[in-house]
Amino acid sequence: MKDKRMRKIILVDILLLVLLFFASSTDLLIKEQKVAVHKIAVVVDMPVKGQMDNFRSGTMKASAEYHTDMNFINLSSWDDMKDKQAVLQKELDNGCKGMIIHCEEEQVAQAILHSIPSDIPVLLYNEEAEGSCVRGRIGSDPEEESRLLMEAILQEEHDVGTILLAEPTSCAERVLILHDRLQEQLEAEGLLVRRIKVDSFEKVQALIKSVSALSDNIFVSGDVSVLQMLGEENAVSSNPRSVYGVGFHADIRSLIEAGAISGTVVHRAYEAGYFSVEKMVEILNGKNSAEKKMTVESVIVTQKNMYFPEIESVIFPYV
Amino acid sequence: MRLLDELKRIWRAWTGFGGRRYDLRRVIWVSFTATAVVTTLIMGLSVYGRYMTQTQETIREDNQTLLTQANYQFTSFLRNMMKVSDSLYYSVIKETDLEKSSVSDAFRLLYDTNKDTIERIALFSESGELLEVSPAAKRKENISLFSQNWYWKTILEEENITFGMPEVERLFEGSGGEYTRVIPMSRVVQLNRGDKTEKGILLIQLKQSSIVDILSNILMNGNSYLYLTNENGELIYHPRQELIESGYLQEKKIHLYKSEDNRFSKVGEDEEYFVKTIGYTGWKIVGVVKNEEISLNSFKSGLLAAFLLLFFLSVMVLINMHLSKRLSAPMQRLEEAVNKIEAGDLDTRIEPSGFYEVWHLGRAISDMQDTLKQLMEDIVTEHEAKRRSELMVLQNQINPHFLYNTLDVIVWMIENEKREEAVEAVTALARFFRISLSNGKTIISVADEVEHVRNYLMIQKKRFKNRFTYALDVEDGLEEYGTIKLILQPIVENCIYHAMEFMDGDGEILVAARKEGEVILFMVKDNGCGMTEDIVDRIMAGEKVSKGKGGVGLQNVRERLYLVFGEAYGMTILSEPDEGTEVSIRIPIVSMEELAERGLDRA
Repeated sequence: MKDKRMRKIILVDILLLVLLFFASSTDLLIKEQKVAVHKIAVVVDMPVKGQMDNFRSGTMKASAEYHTDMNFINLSSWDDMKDKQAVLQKELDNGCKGMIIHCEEEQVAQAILHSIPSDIPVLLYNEEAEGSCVRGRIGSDPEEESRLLMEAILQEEHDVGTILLAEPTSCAERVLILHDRLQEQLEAEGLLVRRIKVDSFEKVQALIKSVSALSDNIFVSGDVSVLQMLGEENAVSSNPRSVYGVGFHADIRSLIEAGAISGTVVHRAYEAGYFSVEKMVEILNGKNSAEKKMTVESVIVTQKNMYFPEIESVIFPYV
Repeated sequence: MRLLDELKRIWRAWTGFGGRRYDLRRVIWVSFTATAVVTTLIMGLSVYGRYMTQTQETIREDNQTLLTQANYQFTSFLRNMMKVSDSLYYSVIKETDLEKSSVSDAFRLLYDTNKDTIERIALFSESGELLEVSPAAKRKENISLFSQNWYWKTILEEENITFGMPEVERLFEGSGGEYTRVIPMSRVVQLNRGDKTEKGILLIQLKQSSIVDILSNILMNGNSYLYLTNENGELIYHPRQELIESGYLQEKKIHLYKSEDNRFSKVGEDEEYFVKTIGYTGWKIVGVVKNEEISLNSFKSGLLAAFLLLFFLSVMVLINMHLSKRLSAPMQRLEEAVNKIEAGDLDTRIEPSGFYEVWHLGRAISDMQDTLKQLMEDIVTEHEAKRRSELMVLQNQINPHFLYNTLDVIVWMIENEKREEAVEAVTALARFFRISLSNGKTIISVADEVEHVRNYLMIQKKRFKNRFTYALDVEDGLEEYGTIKLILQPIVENCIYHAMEFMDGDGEILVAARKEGEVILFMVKDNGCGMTEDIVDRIMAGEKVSKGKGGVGLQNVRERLYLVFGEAYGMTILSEPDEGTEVSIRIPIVSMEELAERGLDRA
């Protein structure tokens, strides 16, 4: 009886030892917490050079910190939508587990989303497109952008005449929303607002010339390409106007420094890039998977304040 | 609580202060195991503590070395840059009359030599006019020199080389629209213009990336990191500087720059920091070391420690079990043997074994067992001898009177010339003594016993001149069974001498023998004077009765029957005063051979 009990105790002891050995010294029972390296892709479709630099820097910083295998792809190199989708498919075939997408044109974004399987999580950066694979959105707040623009316009030293909201013919949903808000706010302040369509540099030139005679007009555009065209034309105009807009890149910087653009609203693109990768890693690790919209701060950049430290860190982030 | 009580009891048993008695094996096992467990735990904890301290110290030294190395590299970098500044000033600018010659070649040469770390070298007049720049670049007209913080710092600290905070390069038109972050290093210089001298500003824009490269290449362990601040605690480098500048993150340990140099100090529960001051600039490198990385308290490490502890404990417990079994086994065997001896089995064999003390104890007990056995055998032998001696004494009590009286009768017969009767008497006497002697045997056949009493009765009848008559009634088939000799004769003698004392020819004695179940029943019946119940009780109790009342012969027979056959058999007396007495004797039906096997034939 006693021996039987002793044999049972020894058996339990041996089993416990074996269990502890396997648990402590092998990966059979408890896996060593290894850093999961997720393969993700940041897909943009932005033809303007330098427009995504800060965002890209942010994604790269987060990618290094969170140990992701990240590919940054700019689909603007391919004109045909099928080619763009083929590039995406190749990326998926190579084991991409998640995507962060930002496109200049909403149709392109929508087409891309349709070609992505629903089990691949997607984060949209400054995009309004819809898709079953979308798990979150990150970007600037159009409400804040329009408010900053309005405040800048209202601080104009001269009398403000008509506000001309210039938008491209095929305008992104986001720009339209921004213009709608801005129009509402400006009109609420008793200002006259006109919305005009521009689809080429020639049209912009014509526009600038045609309104030059009319003093105190202010040009505003939520589209960075239109803003650049307005700034460039304004720079050579004999009667420069105040030009405001949304967006920033190296050419815009030069135009602001030259005084051709009075102010532009810039959001923290570096932080947007950083947090989008951080959020994607969380999703891939099974945490915080509920769809969520994150907004990043925006500031108005003018010739006067662009080298103030608090503004400088937005438009020229530490890399 | 139960375990505690059990341990207390074992402790009391171990120390001999009462409590439950535990067997030797358990006490040895528990004592050895407890000692081993305590020793292992103390050693394990000591080694673990020492190992942890050593590991922490090693990691701390590694981090200190890394920070010292970073400090050294960074100081070297700044010294080199200051040497470039000195060279430009003392060897180029001071030696050059700007009205007659240019410093551009020297600027270009030094720039080319250090272009990995220098973004641009520029010389300004006191009024902010750009005199020289390398590499060549267009000055931005709308950015005034006087709006730059570093400019005023340089003016204020005229004698020194000053370092400004990192900023985006903004004085010159860039190439490709890219921006560069630079650290302005500037000093006031004397410009020679013919006979006149005037103040100027020598600006060397250091690439911030050079500093970042130096500091980011210092690989701290895990989540540890280092950052660089100026003398006012403003960040110059931080691995997450952008997020801190934008307000998304906070460096809660920014205040550490004020701490004492070259010393590790604790900050919070699981962090330490180390501060190094960069020579000349007053900048501080702060290393924040996370102690969680130097802890071995991860789950798997805990499991490994538990495994090792359990493994050593199991091995020790098993060894102790084996050891306690080996040590206590001889004692247990000895105890079992002693228990058997205690129960009366003196043939139990004790094999002395084990270590010396137990072996010696076993031998001593074995010797004691032999002695005890011998003593008991001696007692039995002595008892037997005593019994035999008593029997002989009792038997011997019978003969002398009878022989004397019989011979007296025979003498009388011869004197009265009753030759035939004398012959009969002598023959009967001879037979009587032959059976009485029986070669010294105590056991005779029933036939001999009956023959013996017949001879006796014949002799006594002649002696007492036919005072009585007698009859013998023996059942056939009993003759060959065995009985102790002379059990009937004393009873018959008692009848003649006491019961028939006053009879005058009408006395009757009946001697009968018959089989009754598993016993042989002898009966001697007379019609004599009988005995009172009191006398019968005293005879049966073995007490002496008064002389003349008889009883000695009856007691003799009763005691002999008891000695040979035990309490189950024996003698009973039925007597009625003036009516007669009936004495019955019951003995087992056994053959003579069987009685001989019991050793009674020699009694």
